[in-house]
Amino acid sequence: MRAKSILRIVAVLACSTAIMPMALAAESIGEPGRSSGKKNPLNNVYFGEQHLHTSASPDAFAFGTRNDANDAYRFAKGEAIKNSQSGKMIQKRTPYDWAAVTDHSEYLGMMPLLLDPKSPLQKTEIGKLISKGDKKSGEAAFQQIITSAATGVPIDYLVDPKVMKSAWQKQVDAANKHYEPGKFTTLVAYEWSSQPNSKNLHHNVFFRDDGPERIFSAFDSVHREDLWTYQEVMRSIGHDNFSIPHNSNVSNSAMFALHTSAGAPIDRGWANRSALNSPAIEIVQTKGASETHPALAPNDEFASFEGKFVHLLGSGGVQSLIDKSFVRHALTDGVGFQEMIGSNPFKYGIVAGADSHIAASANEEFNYPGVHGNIDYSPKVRLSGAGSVAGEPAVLFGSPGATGVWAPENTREAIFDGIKRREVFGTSGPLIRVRFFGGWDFPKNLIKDKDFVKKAYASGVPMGQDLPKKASKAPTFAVWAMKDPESGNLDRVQIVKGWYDKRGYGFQKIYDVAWSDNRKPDAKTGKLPAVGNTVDIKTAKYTNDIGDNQLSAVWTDPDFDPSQHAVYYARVIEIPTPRWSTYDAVQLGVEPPKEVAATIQERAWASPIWYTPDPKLVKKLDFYPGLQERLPYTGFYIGTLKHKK
Amino acid sequence: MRVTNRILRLAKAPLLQFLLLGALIYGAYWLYGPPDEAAGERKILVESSRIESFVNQWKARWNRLPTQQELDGLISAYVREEILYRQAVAIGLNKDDPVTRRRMGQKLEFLTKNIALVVEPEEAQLAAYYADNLDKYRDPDLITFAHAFLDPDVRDKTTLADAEVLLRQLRAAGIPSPSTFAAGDRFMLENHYAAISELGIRRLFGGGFSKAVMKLEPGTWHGPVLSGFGVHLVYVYEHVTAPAPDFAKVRHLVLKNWQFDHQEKFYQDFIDNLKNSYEIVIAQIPKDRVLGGNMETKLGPRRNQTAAESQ
Repeated sequence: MRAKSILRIVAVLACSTAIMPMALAAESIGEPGRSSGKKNPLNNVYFGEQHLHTSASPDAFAFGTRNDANDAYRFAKGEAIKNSQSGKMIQKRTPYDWAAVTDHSEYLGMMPLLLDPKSPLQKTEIGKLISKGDKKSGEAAFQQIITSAATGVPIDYLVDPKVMKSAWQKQVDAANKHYEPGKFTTLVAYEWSSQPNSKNLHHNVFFRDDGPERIFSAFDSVHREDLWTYQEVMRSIGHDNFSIPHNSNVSNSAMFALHTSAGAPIDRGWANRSALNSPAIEIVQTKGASETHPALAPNDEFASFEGKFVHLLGSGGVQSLIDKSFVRHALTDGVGFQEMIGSNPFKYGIVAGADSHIAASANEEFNYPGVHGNIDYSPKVRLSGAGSVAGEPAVLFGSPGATGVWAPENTREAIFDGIKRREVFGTSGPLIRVRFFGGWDFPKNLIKDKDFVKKAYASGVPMGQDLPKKASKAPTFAVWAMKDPESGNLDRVQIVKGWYDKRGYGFQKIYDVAWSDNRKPDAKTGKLPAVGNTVDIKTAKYTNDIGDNQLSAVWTDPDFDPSQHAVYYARVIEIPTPRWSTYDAVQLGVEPPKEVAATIQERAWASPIWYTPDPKLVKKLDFYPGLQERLPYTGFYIGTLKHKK
Repeated sequence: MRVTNRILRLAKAPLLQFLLLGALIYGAYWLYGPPDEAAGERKILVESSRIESFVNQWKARWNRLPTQQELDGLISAYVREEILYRQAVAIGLNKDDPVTRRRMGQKLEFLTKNIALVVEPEEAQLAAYYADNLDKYRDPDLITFAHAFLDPDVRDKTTLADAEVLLRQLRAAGIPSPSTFAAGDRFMLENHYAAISELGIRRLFGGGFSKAVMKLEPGTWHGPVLSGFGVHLVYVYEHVTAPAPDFAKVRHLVLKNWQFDHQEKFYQDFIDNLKNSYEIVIAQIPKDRVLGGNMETKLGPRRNQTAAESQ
C-alpha cells in the first residue's frame, strides 16, 4: 500500500465530522484576517459567493424560502441557519470569505407584501388569488408573476417606485450590516433577469459602493445594451460597477451571438462596451456547466460535466441550442473578433456560483441541502423525482460552484477590483486554489523557486490579463494548483487554447500540462490515462490514494503561431468523488439515480490570458467564415452584412 | 392583535411564564367570550382604535395617509369580512375545513413560540447559562504558528519516517528560522501565520488540522500533524485566549440565546401537557392500507417513472 494512504485517515475523519449547529451568538465571533491582517502584495485567495437568491426573489419565495439576505450572509460566514423548508439547521464546513446576494430585481421583495393581509396589494388580482390560500390559486398567482418576469411585461401594481425603493434598500442594509472589513466582505448586488423568448440573458450586477437608489430591471429593458448604458451612467456618477452573465448554457445561442440585440453585426464600439461592463462570466452553477458541450468538444473527455440541464427556462420543455451558448467557444470567437474588428466582445474572466434559491451558498458536495426549497429540501424529496423546477427534476441540478478572487486583502474594494481585473477563478464547489501566469521568459524551474509568485508577477502577467509584448519565440505559462483539504486530490492540470486560423475559423486544443502519480501518456494517441476511481458507490466513501495534493508546471505552447490571436485558460481536474445524489442514495439505502453520474470530477477554471499579435504580423481576411451567422429571414450574414453567394 | 399584545405583556412577568401556557388554552374562553355569543350578536362595531390601526398600517406600507375613499374601502372590506365570518361560523363552516384547522393550529403555535421568546429567566439562571456557554461570547483564541510541510506525493513511503527525522532536527534547533522551513517541501500556503483563529486555520488547512493545531503546547515542535494535504510539523509560538467579555455587555445576546434555546423546549412541553389532557384513540390500521418493504421499493419505481416522463 502506498504511504499516501495515511491521508485516507484524514478523508475518513473529514467524512465523519458531525456538523454542529452554532447558536445565535455567533455575531460576537470574528476572526482576524489572513496571516497578520496586513495587505499581501502577492495576493491571497478569498473564496466566496457571487450568485444567490433569498426570500426577496419571488421565485425563491414561491419555493418556500423565508430566509432573507441576513440569513444568507450568516450562512456564508459559517453560522448555522434554519432551512425554511426542512426546518433543519444547515451549516458550511468551510466558511466563505465574502458573499453577494443577488436577488431578482423584477418584483424584488414583493412576495412577502402580497401575502401580508394588511397590504393594499391584497386587493389586486394576484393578491386575491394568494389570499385564497389554496394550492391551486397560489400556483396560478405564481404563474402570473413568473410569466410576467419571463416575458418582461410588468404588472403595474407590483412596480410602484416607492415600494421598489424600500425593497432594494433592505438588500443594501443587509449587505452593509454584515460587512466586516478584513474578516468578511459583502458586495451590494442584484440580478437583472432578462429572458426574451425564454432565452436566458441573465446578468448579476455588482457595485463597488453602497450602490445607487434605483436598480435597472428587465422591465426597464431586456437588451443588454440598455443595461450597459445604465451601468455606464451609474459609473459616471460614482457608482462603479460590473455585471456578470450566467447560464449561457440555456441561452438558446443568444448569450454569445455574433450580433447585437438589434440584429446588427457586432462592431468595435459594442465589443468595447461588452468588455468594459461585463469583465467575467459564470462558468458553472446549479443549473449546469457552461464551459463546453460534448457536441462541441468531442475530444474532451471531461466535457459532459453537469450537462443535464438543457431546457430553456419557462419554455415548456424546449431544448436550448448548443452553438454560441458555451464559454470556451465564445472565448475563441472573442479572439477572432479581436482580429476582425480590433476589439474582443467576449473578454471574460471566469467565476462560478450557486444560484441557489434557499439563501444558502452550499458549495460542499458532501453537505448538500438542495437549492430550490420545496422541490429538493431533503434526500427523499430530491431523489423521489416528485418535483421539478421549470420542468427539470431535482436530481439534474448540480451542487453550487465557488469563486476564488486573488486580492491583497479582504475588503469590498479589493474583492471588487480583483474580479474587475479578472484575477479570479471559478470552481465546481471545492476550494481548489490556482495560480496561473503567462510570460515569455519563465525559466523551466520557476515553479520550484521559493520566490515563484514574486518572480512570476515581476516578469509576467497573472490570469485575466494580456500577455506583455512578445519577447521570445513562444509564450510560457506557469500554473500551480492546490487541492481543497476537505475534498479529493488533483488528477491533472490542463491548459485550453483557443485561436483563429488563417482561413478565419476558430479552434480549440486541450493540453495536459501536469498530472498525478507519474502516469505516462499513451505512446500512440498521446492521451493521458484516466486517474482511476476509488469511490465505493455503496458507502459514498473515497480515498486520496490516487491523485496529488499539489500540481504545477511551466509550459510553453508547442504550436504557437505569432501571427494568430489566441486565448489560454487553465483547468484543474480532481479525482472522482461522489456526486451529491450518491451521498443521498447511501443515506436512503437506495441505488444512486440513473439519470446522472454517480461520481464526478470536480474542477477549477482559471481566467484566461490573451495573446494579441503585433498588427504587422497579422494578415487580415476580408471574410471570417467562423464569425458569420445567417439569419434565415434576411439571407444576410450577420458579421459583414454580405449577401450569401 | 390586541389580545396577543395583552398576552405578551403579561408574559414578561417571570413567575407567570408557565401559568401562561395553561392560561392560553383554558383562558381562551375568558379572553374571547363564548363563541356562540360572538357569532350571534347582530351588531358590528368598528372602533376608533380599529380605524386608527387601518390608517397606521396604510402609512407604514405606503408612506402617506390613505384618502377618504381608500379608508372607506378598508372599512367596508373589514365590515364585509366580519359579516361573512360571523355568518360562516354560525352555520359551522369552520368545522372540518382543512385550511381553517391548519391556520388555527399555526396561530396557536406562533403564539406559544412568541411567548417563549419574551419569557425572561431569573438573573442567576441567566448568569449560569452564560457561564456554561462562555466560549460563544469570548473572542476566539488566536495562535501564532509555523509549520514545515512533508509532501506524500514527493516522499511516498518515506514521508512519515522523514517527518520523524526532521522533527528531531527541528527540536534540536529550537525556535524556527527561515532556514527551518527550507527543510520542508514546497507548499502553496504560508509557512507562518500570526494571530490566527481556528476558523481562519480551517479555511486554509481544513477542519482536522485546525482542531489539532489549537491543542498543541506552545514553545516546541510537534508532529506529525495530518491535514488534507499531507504531513506537517508544527511550532506554536503563542496561544492567546481572549478574556471573557463583561456579562453586562453581552447580556442582551445571552438572553436572546437563552430564549432561542428554550423556545423549542417550551413549545414541546406545551404540546406534551396538552396531549396528556386528551385521551387519544386511534383506530386499527388494516394491513393492506400500508406499503410494505423498505424505502427502495417505494422510491425506485417513482423515480423511474419520472425519468421516463421527462424523456
